[in-house]
Amino acid sequence: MAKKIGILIALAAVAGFLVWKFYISKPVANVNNIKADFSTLDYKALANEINSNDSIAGAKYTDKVIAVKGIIKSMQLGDSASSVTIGEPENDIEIVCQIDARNNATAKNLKDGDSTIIKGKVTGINNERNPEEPEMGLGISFQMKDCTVENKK
Amino acid sequence: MKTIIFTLVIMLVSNIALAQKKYFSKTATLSFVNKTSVETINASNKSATVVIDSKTGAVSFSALIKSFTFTNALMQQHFNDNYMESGKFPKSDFKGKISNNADVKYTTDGTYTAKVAGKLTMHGVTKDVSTTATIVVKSGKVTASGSITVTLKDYGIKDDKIAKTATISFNTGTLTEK
Repeated sequence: MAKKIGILIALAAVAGFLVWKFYISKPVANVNNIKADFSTLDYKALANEINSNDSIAGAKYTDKVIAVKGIIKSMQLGDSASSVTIGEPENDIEIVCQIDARNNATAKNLKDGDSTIIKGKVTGINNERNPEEPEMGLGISFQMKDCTVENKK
Repeated sequence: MKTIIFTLVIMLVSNIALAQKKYFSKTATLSFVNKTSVETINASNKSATVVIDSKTGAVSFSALIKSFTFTNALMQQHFNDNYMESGKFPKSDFKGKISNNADVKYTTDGTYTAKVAGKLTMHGVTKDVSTTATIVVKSGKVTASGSITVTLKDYGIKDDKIAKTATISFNTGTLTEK
């Protein structure tokens, strides 16, 4: 009887460990290990699609993993996380990519003006255009997170 | 003589007008911290937009809820599905004003305390909030940072498993002039 109780306790402990390991403490999936739902999109084509109808584009891409090719418009590099913006000077539609610690090294050595491919999970479209005062609007940011630079230098 | 005075007045007005700019960023950082004795929900979002109008003191922030990043998958799922309901309320924003804007010299190096009040919309609920922000001007570059503590129940976010309040911090990074 005592042996059976011991086995049950051991099984419960193993089950608890597995739940903790593979469910409770499971890290957010690394996009490096995920096949892109849309690959590889050209910035200009994507910007045109967003400009035509940002609601439709948002519904199509949000929560999907995509890879986008374009020119780096600006970057904010950090030690543990960075953000890279793909865009063009005269276009108010920008692709803003958040890169976390796991893939932060992939952004190293990139600079403004470089052509790059970034893969990440789309989180949505933030339309900050101001139709009443266009010059005061901030345009549209197409946002991605958990990003990685695919053609790192 | 009249012409000289007129010219000087025009130059002065032009300088004032040029000094009154809008400062913005599309990669401002927001962090969301909700701490209980059991766990701490800690999320950050580096793609928030912010605009500060140096002329009027108007300030606005906006952020997509799904853009908050986590290290833990389950925590991210609970944050989006159970607490913030990001599918239903995808965006959060703040629109307000710096009440002591005249004290902030956007073109003079220094550290300024700005009193900010306005309306915060989160989880589809809009509430009046106020806080102080630190605006730093250094070598022509402007940054702003601060935080605010909100009671989640006020925004319709109810869950016994999370703390009653959350602290939302912001850091604009270097703002671009417009």
